[in-house]
Parts: sequence; C-alpha cells; structure tokens
Amino acid sequence: MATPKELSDFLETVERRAYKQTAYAVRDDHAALDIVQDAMLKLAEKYGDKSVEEFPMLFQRILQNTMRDFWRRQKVRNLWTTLLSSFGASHDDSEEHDPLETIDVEDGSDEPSAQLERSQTIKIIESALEKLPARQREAFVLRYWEELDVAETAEVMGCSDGSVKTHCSRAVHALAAELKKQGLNNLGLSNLVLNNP
Amino acid sequence: MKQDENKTNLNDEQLSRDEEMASMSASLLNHQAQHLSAVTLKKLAISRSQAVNKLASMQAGGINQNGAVLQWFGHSYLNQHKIKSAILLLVVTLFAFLVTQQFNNNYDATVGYQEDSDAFLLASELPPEAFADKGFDTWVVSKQN
Repeated sequence: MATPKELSDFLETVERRAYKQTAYAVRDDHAALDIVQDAMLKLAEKYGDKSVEEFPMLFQRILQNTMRDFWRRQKVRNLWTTLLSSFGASHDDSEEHDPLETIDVEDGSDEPSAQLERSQTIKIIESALEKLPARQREAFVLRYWEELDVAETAEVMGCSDGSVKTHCSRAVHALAAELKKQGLNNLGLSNLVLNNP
Repeated sequence: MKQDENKTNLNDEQLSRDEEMASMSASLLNHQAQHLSAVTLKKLAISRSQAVNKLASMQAGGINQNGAVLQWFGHSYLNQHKIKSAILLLVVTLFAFLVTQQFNNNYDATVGYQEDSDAFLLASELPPEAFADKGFDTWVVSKQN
C-alpha cells in the first residue's frame, strides 16, 4: 500500500506531463487542469491501496478515461449549445485573460536565441501533435513521451498490441511529415535536444 | 529480388529516422512541460495536495476502508446494486405485510361485532321482523314499566 508521501512524490513527477498531454488532447487549459485533478483524486480514492509501482499505469489509464468522459460530456453540451445557440451570445475568450497565465517559469540556463528557437520548434511540434487523430496522439504520447512499451500502451488504450503499433506508426509518419513540411529535420531537432539542460 | 531488399532497407531506414524524430519531439515536449506558468503549477500543487489528503484521511479511517470486518457490512457490499435492491425489496415486503395485518385486525373486529348481532337475533324468542316493527320499542318500554 502506498503512503501519502509516496503518492505525493509520484504525482509531483507526472503532473506537469499529464497536464500538457491533456491540454494537447482537449485544447482547453482549464479543462485540462480539471481533468488532471479528477484523475489525481480518483487514483487516491480508488487505488490508494495499490503499491506505488502500479501507479504510472493506473494513472495513465485513469487520465485517458477521464479525458474520454470529458469528450462525451462535451459532445452532449455541444448538442445543447447548438440547439440553444439562437438564444445565447458569443463569449469573448480574452475577457478573463490573466497575465500570470502567460508568464512561464524560466530555467535561465539558455541563451535567449536558443530559447526562442526551441520555443518555435516546440510550437510546431505542438501544432502537429494537435492535428493528429485522438487515438494516434494517445498512442504517440504513451509510447514516446511516457515511454511505455507496446503491451503497456495497449493495456492503457484498451486495444491490441497490433493496433498500438499501427496507431504509433501512423502517428510517427504524420508527425515527421508535418515537421519536414515546416522545415525541421532530425539534425535540427537533435541539436535542440542536445542543447537541453 | 535485390531491388526488393533495397526497398525494404530504405523503408526500415525511413521508419527508424521517423521514430528518432518522434522520440526527439517527445523529449522537447517533455522539456516544455517542465516550464509551466506559476498559476498552473500552483493549481496542480493544490490538486496534488487534495489527492494526498484524501488518501491520508482514507488510511486514517482504518479497517473499514482496507480491512475485512466492516467491509462486509459497509463499503464494498452495500455499494453493490443487487444487494441494495434486495434490501429495498425486503423492506417494502415487510411494510406491506405489516399494513395488511393491521387492516385484517380492524376488519376482524367489525366482522365479529356483526356476527354477535346476528347470533342474538337468531337466538331470540321473537322473530327478526319484530325488531323492525315501529311499535316494538314502545311495547318494550311499557313492558319494562
């Protein structure tokens, strides 16, 4: 059984990645925070008696399921919004803009030009990732970002190993094609990766 | 044959390059994920703290959360739909039985009174028509006097 300290340490290591992955998937920062919070609470509530070694897989599965629940709710909400759209006025997203949201925590270890180059590259990658179909993105994130093996990815995604390989292969092809289209190649990326602190 | 081999090698090479690119992209995204805004980090820390508190409070709850004794009566089994339905059905049946019994008792008392009246009329020396006669009451009173 995991202790609260072990749970806290585990969540601290995964929460940022989980938030970014969710944000790419749902394209809404506030919803992403809610989803990550839900996933954290579910992990503590339902699987608090499991050992800490099981947490990564369990957390990923909970996170993916919570995202699916969000999409289902979103689908119903969109249906009602469409039906009632004639009664409502459109909202301006910039109304509740918080300047603190845009201030990133800087690591201060890079030259400004390198930081700029990296942030531009990351924007291209983020954009390419957002364009991927949901299942391909899920497979890519779990295999290459979370570094799960094919069997683990299949378990989290609830599909066969073959499907994971297919999703991954298509995702990688699509991503590579998009990056090449934007003028990025392996050499440019590897320079940026090597320059990472 | 040789052309096929070359083609396969080229495809493998391309796949390997693409996978390398995917890994590097993931690495950059991971780097980016470590530099979130202060507000986001604060919200994540609050969420984490809520989850940890929840686990701590559950573990402090003791045996009924993790052990076996109270779980039989509490969390695990009562949360099951079938058992809940069965208990509800039992309670409704018991309530219906009690209500029916109550009505039966009242009914029996009324019927008993009626049965006594009939027995009195039948056992009397006078014919039943005499009790319906208008002058009967007057005759009974005059007789008593």
